[in-house]
Amino acid sequence: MGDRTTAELVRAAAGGDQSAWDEIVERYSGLVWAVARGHRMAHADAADVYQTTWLRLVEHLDRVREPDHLGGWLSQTARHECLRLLRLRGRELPDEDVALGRDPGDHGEPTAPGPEAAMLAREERAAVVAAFARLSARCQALLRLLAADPAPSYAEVSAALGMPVGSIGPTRGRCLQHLRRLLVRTAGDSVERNGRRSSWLTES
Amino acid sequence: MVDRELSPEDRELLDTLRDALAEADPVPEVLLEAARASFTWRTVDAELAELVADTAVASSAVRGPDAPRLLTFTAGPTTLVVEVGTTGAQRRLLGQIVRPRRAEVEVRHAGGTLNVVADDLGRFRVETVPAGPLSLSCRFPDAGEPPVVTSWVTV
Repeated sequence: MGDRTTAELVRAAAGGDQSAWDEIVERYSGLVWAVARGHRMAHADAADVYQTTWLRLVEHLDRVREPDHLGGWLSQTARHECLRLLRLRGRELPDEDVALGRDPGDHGEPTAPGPEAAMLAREERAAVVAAFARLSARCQALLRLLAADPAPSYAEVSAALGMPVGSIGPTRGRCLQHLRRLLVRTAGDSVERNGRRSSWLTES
Repeated sequence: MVDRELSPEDRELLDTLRDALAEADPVPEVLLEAARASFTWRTVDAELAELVADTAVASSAVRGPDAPRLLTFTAGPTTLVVEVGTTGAQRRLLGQIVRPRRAEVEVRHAGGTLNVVADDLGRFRVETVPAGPLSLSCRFPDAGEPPVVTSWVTV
């Protein structure tokens, strides 16, 4: 367990090994979810894309030609299913809540009391999420993928976004720069007021 | 990994974003559970009918916005055309098997299965199935052919 390669897991799952399947799901769940949410899908549609993508893999287990590139295959499958649903819905851009990954109406901060450090960390994360929501759709999609756990490869990001591998690095740089500027402008004050300044707030 | 060439500042910002999004928008546990459970849909004896056409993604300029959605699946010589109608969160299916023949059709969806029969002309109807992932499995009792199962698609 845990140290099997993706190719070994795919072969084992194709032979009927549920534990291998569970491990594949564990490994790529965040990636598939990031692709669905990154396409600015509403929560219910993202859920359908996520489920359909895994069901597609079940039926294609013995047909995946390059099991080592499973992340790319999943990314591309999820992306195609996103585009299908978006066309079907005939929908333009949803509101900010959708892009943010919240259900409409849920604007609350987490309220559970915690130690000072946890409060600060929570405030910092809330500021990052708020700034993230103001980025362009393209930046949100890219950064959401790059922030998936575990971090995807260039090939997987390329497959998920239909973006040439060569432009991922430069786009990432611009998007992070923009995110940092938004944070400095909107959240810097409150973070500084708390006598704390994270290194990512330093303008470079 | 993609973040090999990140500056320390960019790396920390991305790490913070990772934590923030994991907290604000995690993969729902119920979906993770469904993904694990999807393995039970594995079929080993059926021929896979791939989705070869979907009017939802074809150019709809001449069809008009209210035209019903048509899905076409093929496996070898067998073609399956399914018209999908929408009523809120429910879907209605009208199916046609070509070459026309009797079949036992199992409708597979996220919440379970239901069974209908295709008549001698290969036609079948499903009055209501929940929106979401859908797959159809067809068995041909008369013909002695292997069963056909369609690729999953969101309806």
